[in-house]
Amino acid sequence: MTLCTRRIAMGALCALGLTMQRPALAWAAPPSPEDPDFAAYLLDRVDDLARGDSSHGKMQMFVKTERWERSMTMEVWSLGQDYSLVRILEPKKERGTATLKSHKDLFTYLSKTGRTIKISGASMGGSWMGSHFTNDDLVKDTRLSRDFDTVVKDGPKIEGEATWALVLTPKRKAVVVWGRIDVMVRKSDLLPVGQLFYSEDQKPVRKMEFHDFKTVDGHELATRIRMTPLDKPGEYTEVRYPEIDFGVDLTPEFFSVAQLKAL
Amino acid sequence: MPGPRLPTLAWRNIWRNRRRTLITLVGIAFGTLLAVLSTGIGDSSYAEMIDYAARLGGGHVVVQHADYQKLPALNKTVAASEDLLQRVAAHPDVRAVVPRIRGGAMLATSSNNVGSGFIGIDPALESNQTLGLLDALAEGEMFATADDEGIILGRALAENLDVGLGKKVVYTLTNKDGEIVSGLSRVSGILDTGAAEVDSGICLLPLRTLQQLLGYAPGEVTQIAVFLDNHRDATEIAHQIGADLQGQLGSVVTALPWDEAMPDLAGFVTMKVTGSLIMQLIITLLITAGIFNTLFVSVMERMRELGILAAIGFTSRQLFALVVWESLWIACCGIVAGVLLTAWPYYYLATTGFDTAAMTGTQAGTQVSGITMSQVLYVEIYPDHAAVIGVAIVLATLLAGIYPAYRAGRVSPVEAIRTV
Amino acid sequence: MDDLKLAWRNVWRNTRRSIVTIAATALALFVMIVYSGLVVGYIDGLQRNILDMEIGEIQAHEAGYREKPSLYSAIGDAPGFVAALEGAGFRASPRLLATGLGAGPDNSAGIQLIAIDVERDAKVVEVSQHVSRGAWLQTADTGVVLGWRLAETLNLGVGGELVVLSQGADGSMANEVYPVRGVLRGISDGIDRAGVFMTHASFRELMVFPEGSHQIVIRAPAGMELSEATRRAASLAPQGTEVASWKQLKPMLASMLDGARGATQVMAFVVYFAVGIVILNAMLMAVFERIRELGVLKAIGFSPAGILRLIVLETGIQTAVAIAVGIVLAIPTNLYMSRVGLDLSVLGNMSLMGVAWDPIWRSSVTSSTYVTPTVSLLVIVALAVTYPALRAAWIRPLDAIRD
Repeated sequence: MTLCTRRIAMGALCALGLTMQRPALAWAAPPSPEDPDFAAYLLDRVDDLARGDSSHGKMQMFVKTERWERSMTMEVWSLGQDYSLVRILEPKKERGTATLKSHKDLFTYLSKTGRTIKISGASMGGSWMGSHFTNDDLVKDTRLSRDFDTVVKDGPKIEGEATWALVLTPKRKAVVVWGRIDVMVRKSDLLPVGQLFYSEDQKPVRKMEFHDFKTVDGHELATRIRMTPLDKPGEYTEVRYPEIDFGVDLTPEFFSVAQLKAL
Repeated sequence: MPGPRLPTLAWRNIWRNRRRTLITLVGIAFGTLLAVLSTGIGDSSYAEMIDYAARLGGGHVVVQHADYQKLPALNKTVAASEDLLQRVAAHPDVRAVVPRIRGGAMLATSSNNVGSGFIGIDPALESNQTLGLLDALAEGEMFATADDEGIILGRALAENLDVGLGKKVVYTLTNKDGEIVSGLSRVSGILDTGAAEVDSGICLLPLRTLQQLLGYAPGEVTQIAVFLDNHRDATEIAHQIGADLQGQLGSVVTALPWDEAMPDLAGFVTMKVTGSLIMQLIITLLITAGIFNTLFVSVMERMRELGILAAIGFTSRQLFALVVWESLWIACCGIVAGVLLTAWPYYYLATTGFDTAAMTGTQAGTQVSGITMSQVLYVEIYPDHAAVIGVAIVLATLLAGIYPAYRAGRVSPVEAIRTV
Repeated sequence: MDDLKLAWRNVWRNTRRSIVTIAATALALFVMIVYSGLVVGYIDGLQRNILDMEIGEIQAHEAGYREKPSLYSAIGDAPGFVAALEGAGFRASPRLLATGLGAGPDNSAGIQLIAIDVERDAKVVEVSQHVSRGAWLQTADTGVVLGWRLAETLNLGVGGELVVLSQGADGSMANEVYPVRGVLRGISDGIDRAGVFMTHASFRELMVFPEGSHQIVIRAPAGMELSEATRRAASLAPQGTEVASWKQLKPMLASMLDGARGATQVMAFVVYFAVGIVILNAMLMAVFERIRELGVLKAIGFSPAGILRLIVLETGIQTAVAIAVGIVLAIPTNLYMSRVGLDLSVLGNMSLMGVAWDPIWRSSVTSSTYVTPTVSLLVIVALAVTYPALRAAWIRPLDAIRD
């Protein structure tokens, strides 16, 4: 795949939930910014999913590359961090094609041919559904607070709002490819608005932006996320959530290969 | 009849016509020289090639899971306990025993991700005598221990991932339970073999680090590479080790000699060997023809003299025997002359070798899978091959003398003497 | 003329001795000729293997493609270029290339898609003749042919189905199922592990790639030298196309062949040396055994020059006969060796530096296969007979007779 050679998207994205953005639940009162636990708290919010929380909704993905542009509409189900199912609705040519994630296994169902492929080993680096995200991103297991040392600073103004900048340096033994990650969190509501990923040489390689925060079923989430590879001018992938429901009735059995075909 | 015994007579006969005998001996001597040198070159390059093959792959003998050869996978393993390794090492011909893990992984950096093959090694046990790739270590160094977090990459691979020494590389593989696991490593060395397939597709990882990540028990590996003093014993030692291990590990483990473990390379080696065998055959054929020629002519020229001998009472059997003895003496002297002539050139070529590059003007050495074959040819003949040459020469000389001896036996004194 | 007649009679007077000498010389020549053919055949075989299987003699790519292969990096106006090449006597096969994911019943692996113009491709490379199971692609085939290692990894055989997943030129998820028509024998490392051959039509539909070719594999017109052919092809190529000969594409193979040629020269030297010894022996015997008779000739008045001339003529006659015999024996042998050759396939599927080997060793016979050994033989004989001839010419008659 052409995009196989594209760079990896951030591991945190997975934690954030590519398939379903993990909304920030109402938390116990946050520690004050001077508290040494403040950083860990913020990171956990960024990382933490509503464990066991289920969701169902629609997702729109727009990919712009040097050569082409593409819009897709997908239906998405998820259960915690371990299960998710994404099914293409538009374009019509690919309607029915779906990706299933079950723990660390990834399957792709191809509607045109009715075949299911298990994504393994080397093909993990391949692009997911043609976007700038890779299959590996869906499956990776990075925990920001565990794997990074954090320094809290004042961040830049983003969309008129003041932010905290959490400068994350990977711990020596952390299994992360990045040299540094900056997480920008709004001072007002402690919602993450951006992430910047650096190579080991401290060069920014990737940028993630979170916009259009809404509250749904008591969950606050960004309904527009844009991922920009900084070495490819003009290219980006943008994901929107026009519809979403939480607390949906879903069981792990729903997330199975058989289900892929049945849908 | 009384008088000098046949052997003595034969001896004196051959030295009576000094020039003729010397011509024959010179022929035999040079023949021996050529045969020994060309066989020596053949044998030594054969041995060298197999050693290369062994260093490239899994050793002269490979111990691995019974199904591994057919479809290699990370869940087909062998338990290489300290005990086992020592038992194998205790075999008389075994030079080195190294446990290894081979498989495929995805390597990722902040710039890129690429699939690659890996070899998990224990730096304490490996050297460039067991792993030819180590010769190609262009930058950096080998891991300090087998628990290291280092990774050694081919140069093209490193460029693809946009990393240099000390930079991070995350490697992802499927562990024994089928789960996908990742590990962190930092580039400790760069390999530059010049062969694209190796430089862009191979990396080295520390053994114990891998074992932990893969969920292997301590000592569990996918291959045990065994290196021998003499590659010719590979098949036999493989059987011995196999039988030995059956008791310990049951039938899931097999010991394969290198030609079964690496059939591709075996084919290439055999092809080269066949080529040189044909060469040797040609040379032996020519030498035999030469010997036959001289011997034959020399005997036929002495018909008159043989006729006289018959006239004075030698029986045909005695005449036959006489000529046969002459051939034998010539054969012996020939061997001696051959050894004398060959001694110094052999010694020179065995120690200093001869540089084909200078002769043919080529720069690069022949590359097989990234390991350059030396351009300097040495000779080192196997003792049994040398014996074969010796026997062949003696036989050729004797055969060459048979027909003339037969004719000698049938000589009719009157007719012979009448010929001028 | 008298001398010649005398020489001729002398030769046949001592039939046995002459026959033996002639036989030795003829054998030597025979060996040299056959060896010469085999050795050249070996090198030619190596070269043919490399070129015929996959690489061709010349290849064209869009500039930059080789360093960074990309679906979008295609040769502009490939059909025009191919037409121009064919008009100039070249044979050309345009190919479309892409990477993707291939899946069998329970496994998936990275694959290299190679789309070909079936008819043109068969004229340029020999892959089509190396199908081990099943059959090659037909002109409008909807199926695929796989490399053997790939087929094993994916557990696919003839009649099985390969699922292909890739990314189309428009970004869409390109996927399709193809019936497996055949599985190849060992071709080259790359093709064995990941090669999937399909038609242009299949590729263009799958990858949404209506125009352009990524690679053109070219064979020069017969008899045209490689660098000349490369230049010619480059002059016909559209702007921005890189045209390179196989030596530039695979410098290591080129140097390996040079090394092999060098090695055979060394071996030839050894063989000629061995021949030299045989001839020397034969000549020495031939002259010295007759030293008595030659002494008598001198005694009755032959001058040294006369003796010399006699020996030269006799040697000449013997050598001429030997050459005739040697060549007559060599011709059918060479014919056999060049048509049928030695079958080394008992040694199995062989590959060297990623390229599979044709196990049959054939001779390559040209006029120089005969001429060079014959000329060399004449030289060797001349050298070998010099010493004994001179000795004989100058010997004192009494010494000779007494000997």
